[in-house]
Amino acid sequence: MVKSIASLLKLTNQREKLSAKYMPNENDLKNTIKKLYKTPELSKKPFLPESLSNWLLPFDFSKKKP
Amino acid sequence: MIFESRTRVKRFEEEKYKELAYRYYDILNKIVGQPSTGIEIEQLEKPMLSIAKDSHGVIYYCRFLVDVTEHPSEEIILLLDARDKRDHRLENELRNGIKGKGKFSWLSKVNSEIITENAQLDDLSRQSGRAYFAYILADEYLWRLIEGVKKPMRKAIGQSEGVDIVNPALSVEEILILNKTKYASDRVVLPLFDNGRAGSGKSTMLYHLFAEYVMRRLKSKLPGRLLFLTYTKRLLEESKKTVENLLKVGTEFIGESLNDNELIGILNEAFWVFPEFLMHLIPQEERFRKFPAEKFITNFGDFSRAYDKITPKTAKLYSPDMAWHVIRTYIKGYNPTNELTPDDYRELPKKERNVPIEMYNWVWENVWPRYKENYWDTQDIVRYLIVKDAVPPEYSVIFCDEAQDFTRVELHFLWRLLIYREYDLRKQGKNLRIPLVFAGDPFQTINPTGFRWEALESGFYTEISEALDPEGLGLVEFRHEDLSFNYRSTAPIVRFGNLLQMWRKWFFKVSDQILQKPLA
Repeated sequence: MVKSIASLLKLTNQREKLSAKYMPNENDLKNTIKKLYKTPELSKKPFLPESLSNWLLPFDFSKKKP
Repeated sequence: MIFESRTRVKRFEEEKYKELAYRYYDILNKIVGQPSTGIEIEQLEKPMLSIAKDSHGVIYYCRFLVDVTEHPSEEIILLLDARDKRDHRLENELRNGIKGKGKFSWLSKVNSEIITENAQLDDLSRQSGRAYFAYILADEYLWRLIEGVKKPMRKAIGQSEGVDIVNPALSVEEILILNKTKYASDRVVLPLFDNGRAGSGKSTMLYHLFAEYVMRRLKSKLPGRLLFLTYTKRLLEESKKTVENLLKVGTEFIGESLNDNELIGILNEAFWVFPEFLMHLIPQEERFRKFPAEKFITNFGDFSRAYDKITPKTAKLYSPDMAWHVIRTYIKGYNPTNELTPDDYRELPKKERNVPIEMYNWVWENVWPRYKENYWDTQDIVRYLIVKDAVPPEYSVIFCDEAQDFTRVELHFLWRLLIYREYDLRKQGKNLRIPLVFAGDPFQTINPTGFRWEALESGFYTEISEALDPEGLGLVEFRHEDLSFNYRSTAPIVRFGNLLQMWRKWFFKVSDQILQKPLA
């Protein structure tokens, strides 16, 4: 009987250790969820001006040029 | 586009054809330009197989029109072979080829003058040993370089004596990647990581693409600067000259004029050797005070000489290359603001750690303190500029050749140069074509940095995405292209190289090898 209580305690101990290692921390989880629901902040940066956005366009393949 | 069959490429390796190359150049120019003047053209087998001849030579060729999605509608002239006079035996072989027989049987797979499927284009690519843009024909010197004819008829436009111009020909595989990069807009195209082993000609592809951006700047006067970084002075000169020549012959070909002074101005401003580029960003007094020339470690060669002075003889447990690797990749090269301590190193993801912790500790204790005290290298300038927030976000186009020599911190610095980080990009749509292009070959590193494309991509992805796309809206995605064909070596050599790579993979437990495909 004594032996089985000891082994049960050992098992519980191991379980706790494993939980501590692999279960996510409650606070971490809360923070992660909070982040997911957070409304994105409005960017303080200006929008890309048209002159610069032209760099992002594909090249025109109707003309043969280098 | 001009494609050359492998038979044609071999033909011009013969002395007889090399010496008379200019005659074939004239015929070819007429095939592309004005067929009616001075040559006879005959259709050997309808609809695509033709011959063009004058009194000096004959060229056997096919014309195709490409009509494939994501590929520009353009004409391909495939040069099959050349002879000094008509060769009836060859003509029979070509006719049989179209029927699927003999050594030209591959012609039957591309059995129409209009190429509508990628598979047909691939077949054509496999049979072609070389490709180049038709505008190259505007300059005989460049064309002769492509053909491997040693003695040029005349100097290239503006060519300096003793400057070795890089061959501007591309592999067909590269042309396909290049076209996709230039024209595609509905998928991930840029930023691009271009990975190719020696002989794949990846740098040449960079020159063609960069020339496009220079042209855009010249024509549209868009704001922002262009930057092309290399690691050596020789590469810098070659790259600049090749881009200049490509632009000049290209505009000559379409009958446009180019403002020479403006072009030279843009190129001089754009091309830099990396350490010099870094130095020019630092005010002169700071340069003298913080980075004295006599303490500069340029490369691994310098470091290995300094290593004897800074490491006690009795303590030398590891070779200088390992110490250099640890200092460059991790201690200074991993984090832009802090040195990576042994404790930090232990915390890195397993795949990011490629030296044992004992070695790390040893370098940290025995080499690093005296190296830090007595010397500096490019990473110190990079870290200095990042910490001082002195990286100018002024560049709209950034190209880096030999990217295998950049560390994580240096790459962090590069994206901070992008002008786009100053703006909110959310209105621009997804998969933005940010003109950021890297070419490299991990097997040609001049610094033993333990470079891996995966590490570069993951580091870059996190940092650029956080900076340009903090909400993860898919604004910036990266494209990775491996150049897999080896156009330079014969099949047995390619297979032998692959065998060594397999051994390397097995022996060092690495996964970054790229097995090359021989053409045959």
